[in-house]
Amino acid sequence: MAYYPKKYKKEETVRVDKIKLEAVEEIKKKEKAIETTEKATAAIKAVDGVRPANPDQNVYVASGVDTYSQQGLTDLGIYLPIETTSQEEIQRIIETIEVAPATPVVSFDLNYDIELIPVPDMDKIYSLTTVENNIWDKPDFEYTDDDSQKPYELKNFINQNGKDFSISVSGAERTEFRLAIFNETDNTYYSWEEVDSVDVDAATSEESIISSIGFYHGERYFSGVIPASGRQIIPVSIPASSSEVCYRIGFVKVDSQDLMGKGATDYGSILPIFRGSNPPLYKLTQLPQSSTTITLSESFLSSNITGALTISHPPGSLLNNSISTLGKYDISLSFNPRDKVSLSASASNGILNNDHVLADDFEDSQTEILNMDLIASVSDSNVCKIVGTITLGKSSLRPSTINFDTAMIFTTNADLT
Amino acid sequence: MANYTITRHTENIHAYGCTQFSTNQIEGQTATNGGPLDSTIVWDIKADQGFSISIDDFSFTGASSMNVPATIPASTSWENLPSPILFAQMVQISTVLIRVTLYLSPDPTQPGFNFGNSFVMPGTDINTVVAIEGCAKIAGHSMRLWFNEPTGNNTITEITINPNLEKRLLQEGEGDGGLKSHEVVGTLPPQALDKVASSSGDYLMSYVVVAESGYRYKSVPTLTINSKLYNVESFTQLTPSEYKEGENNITGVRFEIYKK
Repeated sequence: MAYYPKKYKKEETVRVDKIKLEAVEEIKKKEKAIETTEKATAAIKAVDGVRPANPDQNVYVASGVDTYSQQGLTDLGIYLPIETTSQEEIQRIIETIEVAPATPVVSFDLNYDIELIPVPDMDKIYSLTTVENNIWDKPDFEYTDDDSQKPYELKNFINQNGKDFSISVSGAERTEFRLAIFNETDNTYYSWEEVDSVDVDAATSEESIISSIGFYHGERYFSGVIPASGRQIIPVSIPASSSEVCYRIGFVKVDSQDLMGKGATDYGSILPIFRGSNPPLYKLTQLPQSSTTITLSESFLSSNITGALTISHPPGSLLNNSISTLGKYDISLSFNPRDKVSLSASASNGILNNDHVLADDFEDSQTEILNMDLIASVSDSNVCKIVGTITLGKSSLRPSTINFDTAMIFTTNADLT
Repeated sequence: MANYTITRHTENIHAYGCTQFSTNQIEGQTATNGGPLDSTIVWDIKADQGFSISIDDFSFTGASSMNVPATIPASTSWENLPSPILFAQMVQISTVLIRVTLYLSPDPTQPGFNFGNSFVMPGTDINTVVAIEGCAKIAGHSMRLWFNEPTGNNTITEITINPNLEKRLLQEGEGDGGLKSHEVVGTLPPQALDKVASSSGDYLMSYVVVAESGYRYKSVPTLTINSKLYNVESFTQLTPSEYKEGENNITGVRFEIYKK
């Protein structure tokens, strides 16, 4: 585009040269016309003096219009030779020429709406999500103000059976990226490629090579390029585990020497990146089967508690949705203290409620109690009992205990006195 | 409508009949230059108001054009005309006047007119029909065009005048935007009647509008004119997108401007 001003300059130069040439030609024409006029005047003088000797006299129209030279006639649009054309004839011809009116301006108005050509993002990753809901936890940045607390709240998890899910990475088309899943529990990385491993049969000592995807030692990552759709889907299969496992998910920055001339991928400021503490990586938690135990708290009164009930359940399951139990469990806890005991003042009528359960430090790690129909009693033979039913709701994520506060429910007679 | 009139160029020595196109002659008179039977009959073809005429557009029906050296003023010479006319000449006197001279005797002073017999008036009247064909054109007129553009809007404009009109039209302005970004002034040549008010008209100039590098137009730029005498055809310039295959950006437009 920049050549236009130059072009104008060039045209300007050409125009100046052209004007100069035209001026030279004009002078030549005028000189020729004067010469012709002089010859004609001399010829007329020699013949009969029809024309005045002085060419300045008898010129048509006293307005400065030159009708006495060839150039003057040409300028008037008359092409007759001056030598043989009389002033009367020139006058007659001029009277036939139409006088042009003043020229009005014709306006051409240009209208347009111009904008910068939008330049799409390049080498930029926009997001890291999963196709399925509730797979991993993103760091909660509100927690980061307090170093004593972890920046995660356990909201999402997968169970002990493992899970197949898909990671979705969106970004600008043709952006290269590297994604890694790190098993924090055993320091292994997820491999999207099948890796050979040697399996030795303990009985026969025979070795066989097994190829599989999964977690392996040594840094591994998924190397991808964002397609035209702007989103790449990456399948992941988390294997089963009988114990709790913590996985970290994030992008791996590409070393500049690996870029082959391409620009470094921009992961923004909030996407998780390995080799850096900020922002923190995404966290995927695999929880094993959980349980809830209902019992009486240990105290000097209750050393041999019988009837403790342990309910096995998936972490975070809704026990009250169980068709078989509806979350309702029969409870029969008892112990036989050495000292003579009776119901305490806080449970004088034997009816128990949530106040008689020891509060857990972390409420969300305890199984929810929806209802209880429990009676505490002390028999004549000094056997302390809690009998009845308890209805449970959402279970704890990890193994938990519902502890009835023995010391709050029962008391020694000595305390009463 | 012919848009011109033909009259006879009268002279005092002639004795005209019932119209100026007839003269009374005596039997036996011979056509001679300045004699009683004048050897030349002179007609004037004069364009009507607003029109112009050119010898290139006029001819004698059935006559043959002669190949003679160019003259000043410009002229055309003819032979094989109806008897007793030997030759004829059309001279371009001005843009609105053509002088037609019919020769009844040879004239050695005119190239190619030096043979044949001079006309002698017989005992009976002679009536000769000379047919002239030709069209007048709309007279050329002066024009003054202003091209008004938005200012400072990442656009480059350029006007290229029809090479055939470069001696008649002058362009000024650098296209920097604003009122009168470009001005074109000058006088248009006569225009053929079949082009007058036609949709295309006579091509005058190109007005090129180009977006600067990195810019595009949201829609095709438009050119509005406050006159019905001019016609504009636009040709959009599309540039393939660097970023999206199959997508084009509007990066310019060329307006071809015609005089109706």
